[in-house]
Amino acid sequence: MAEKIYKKINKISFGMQSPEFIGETSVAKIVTAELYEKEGYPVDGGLMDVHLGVIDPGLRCKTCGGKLKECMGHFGHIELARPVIHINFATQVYNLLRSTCNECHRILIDEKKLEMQKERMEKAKKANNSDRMRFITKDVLSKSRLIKKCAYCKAKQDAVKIEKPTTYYQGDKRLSPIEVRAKLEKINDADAELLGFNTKTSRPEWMVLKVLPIPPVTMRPSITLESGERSEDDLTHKLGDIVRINQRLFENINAGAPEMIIEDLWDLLQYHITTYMDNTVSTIPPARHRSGQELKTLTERIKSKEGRFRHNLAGKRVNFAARTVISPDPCIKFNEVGIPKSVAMELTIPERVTEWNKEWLIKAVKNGPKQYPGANYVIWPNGKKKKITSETMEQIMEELAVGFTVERHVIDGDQALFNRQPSLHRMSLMCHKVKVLPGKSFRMNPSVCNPYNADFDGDEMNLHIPQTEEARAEAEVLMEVQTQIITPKNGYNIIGCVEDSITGCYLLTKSQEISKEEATNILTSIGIDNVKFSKEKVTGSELFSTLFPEDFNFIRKNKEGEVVVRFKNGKLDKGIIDKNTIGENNGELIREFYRKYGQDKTIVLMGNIFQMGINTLLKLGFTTGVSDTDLSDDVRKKVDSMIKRAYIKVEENIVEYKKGKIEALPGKTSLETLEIKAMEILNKARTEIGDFVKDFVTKDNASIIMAKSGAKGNILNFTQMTGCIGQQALGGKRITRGYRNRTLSTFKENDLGPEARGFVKGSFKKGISPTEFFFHAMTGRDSLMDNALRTPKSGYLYRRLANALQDLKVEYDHTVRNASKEIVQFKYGEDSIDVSKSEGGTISVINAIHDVLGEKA
Amino acid sequence: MAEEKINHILVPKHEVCTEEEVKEILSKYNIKKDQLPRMSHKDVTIVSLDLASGTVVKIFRSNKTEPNSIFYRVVV
Ligand SMILES: [Mg+2]
Ligand SMILES: [Zn+2]
Ligand SMILES: [Zn+2]
Repeated sequence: MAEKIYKKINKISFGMQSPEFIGETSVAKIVTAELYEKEGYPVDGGLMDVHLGVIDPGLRCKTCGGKLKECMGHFGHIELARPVIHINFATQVYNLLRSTCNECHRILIDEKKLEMQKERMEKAKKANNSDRMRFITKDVLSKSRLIKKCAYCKAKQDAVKIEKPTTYYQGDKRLSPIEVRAKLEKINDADAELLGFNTKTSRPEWMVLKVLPIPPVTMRPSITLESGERSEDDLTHKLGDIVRINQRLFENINAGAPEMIIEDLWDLLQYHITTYMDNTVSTIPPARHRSGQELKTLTERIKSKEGRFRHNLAGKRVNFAARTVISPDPCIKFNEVGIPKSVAMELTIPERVTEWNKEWLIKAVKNGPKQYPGANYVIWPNGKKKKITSETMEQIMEELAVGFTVERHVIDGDQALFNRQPSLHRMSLMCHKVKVLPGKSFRMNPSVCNPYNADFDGDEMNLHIPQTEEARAEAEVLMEVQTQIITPKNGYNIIGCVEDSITGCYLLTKSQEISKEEATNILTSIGIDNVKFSKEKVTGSELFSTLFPEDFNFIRKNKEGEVVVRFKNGKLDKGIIDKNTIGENNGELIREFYRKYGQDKTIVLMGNIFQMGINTLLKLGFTTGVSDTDLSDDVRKKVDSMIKRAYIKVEENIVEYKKGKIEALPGKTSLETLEIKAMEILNKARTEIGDFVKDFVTKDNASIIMAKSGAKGNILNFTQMTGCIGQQALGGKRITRGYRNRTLSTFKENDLGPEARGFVKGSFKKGISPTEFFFHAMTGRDSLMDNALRTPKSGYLYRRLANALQDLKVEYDHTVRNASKEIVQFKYGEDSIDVSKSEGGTISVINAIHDVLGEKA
Repeated sequence: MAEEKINHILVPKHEVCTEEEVKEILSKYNIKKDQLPRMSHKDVTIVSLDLASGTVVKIFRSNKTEPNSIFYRVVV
């Protein structure tokens, strides 16, 4: 093939085609509506003329000599017997007729104003300000269209009206397209420029068609049905109508037929050309197939969701993909995805037959498309492809040999790309290993919900099967779940243990002591069977330690610097495992392990910890219910008295304020000071109630265990259920809205007390009073609206940011550059820190020293 | 007022590069001048210096993780 030379596009200009241009570029004049001769060869001068390009293999284009796919096609033309209005310019024509004189065709505004407008336009053109130019044109149109008398020839103006879509009246007289064209022709270039035309590329009269370009056959190919019949494209149908009516119009004019008949045919020609351009014009009935289906003509090809832009250019579709509802399965691994058998039998992988896999591929072919694990297609070495059916089976089995390719069903262990929209970061598309399961949903380990931001309230996800060896290798090396444990956002682990597994590990390492049989049982259920316990009783920490290699050391300190969790030589010798050790985003242990042992061992470890957690919980039994929020009478009384004490404190402050004795905080009024103090007192009261209550519930209270381990919920949730819901706040302040000087009509005016300003002393368990309920509903609605408005806004903001940054890249010299290699940063992040190898964006020098020197430093 | 902006405590130090420095920078990053980050000659920080278009400005800006960060901008 000849080497192609590409030119850079310097400029694109949009304009209209002149009749001359259409004639010059045309390769064939179309004169007959006939398509094919008896032998099936395209008619010369017909709509399928071979000059217009080829759609049959074997034929050659008569214009350029190219074969199918070599020749892009060429435009033809027809000469219209009478001109017609171009539907897409109907309003522009209307505007021009209204704004120009009916006699002398100048713009209807007087000379002085016209000159002024022309000057403005000239200025805007120089500045290349197309918005301004458009504005001036609009201004000229609106100022000139109501003038009743021409300033130049003094002719009285009859109002020009339009009858949609393409009929114009001047006064009561109908203007034929010939007359319209004549009027437009007479608008001079200078005026046309002011009316929005670039007269170098577009003249107003070109909006009335004298010749019609015929698009090449390659953009309207006919299809041969199975019966051997030819079915023509919608455009060809429409063009056939146009050519037919045009020929009849010619004949009638030449024969000197009565004007009535000619006008009818002319209108018909107008109708056909209008629907050829746009078949969705509301004022005329759409052209239809014989079956009654509406034709898809030029505009419909481009417009709307099914049009060229949104359907073909913006929205590309792929094969070998599946989509269904997701559901959780704690029993499959983090890097596995459960797919239904019915899906596995649709998705295939092309596998080349070799001596080594011949046997099992033959078996797959024998099973066919209806039995799992089978195969759907066989491809011959020469590229011929055949579907496996009961008819073709015998022949395929006979010929199948080394060198063939079999499209076999996916099986356990194949790579699949799993994705959930919106795909905001790279973890939204990860590679999982297939696991074929019964059922109809995709199954995933709940630990990978976080990177996908998925939950199971009806979410659906997409799955793709890479088809080539290269794609599969790339997916596995770059995209598999374990490669994504650390997020590039802040260097924390986006994948970790969740919910039950955290609770389980927490309880296990807290104080459990189990028999060696039970311990062995738990290990076996994870799939570990090479650990022997010497003692009869095994502690939770010892059991947990069996998952770690012997050289693993780890220390977690809290903010005060005290050691909270410690691993020494692979043994957990201090501390309780919780969310801050193994959880997502917080799991320090996970990150430490990842650094030392790498992604593959980490994903195995996390899977084991996860399984140990849930299996422990399974053994212990764990449930939460209403009884978790029970309080004894004594505790209840104490809570009530704590609330009362807070009330009294607030009351004291109110008295001070009313006396004018309250000391105002700097920059605040005394009322603001009172509000701040009241908020403080009441919030403190609720915190104290929470602290008090949590110590007086039973030791095995599930809600508290979940809150403490970090599995789900927090102490505040528990406080609100058992003790006191607390102060309701709008915009950070106590509730003051409502009636004049009071929130609700039950309260006295100017009541500043806790209950009149939205303090809810009840709990979810005990129930709340009607006024409390109202205040609670106020804040509830406020946050609901806030959420509903903020989510789409921030989502769009993020999308715009991501699109603006997407082609920035760190080069080998550490500079960040955009697609045109312009420097954005001289050093990535100004400090060259790879965030995914840092802790929250910074590198700890002390940790690095620890690493080199070992524990002693 | 404008003259004071460049001396403001929150404005990092700006320095005009010499011809040799510019040559060095361009060859170090293997770029043409128009691939450098830009700044307007009307930018309040340098407006008082009245720099010609094409001048390269060296900016010493420091942050938490990199106290010796250096940035270049070309005046447009
Ligand atoms: Mg959901
Ligand atoms: Zn051709
Ligand atoms: Zn006139």
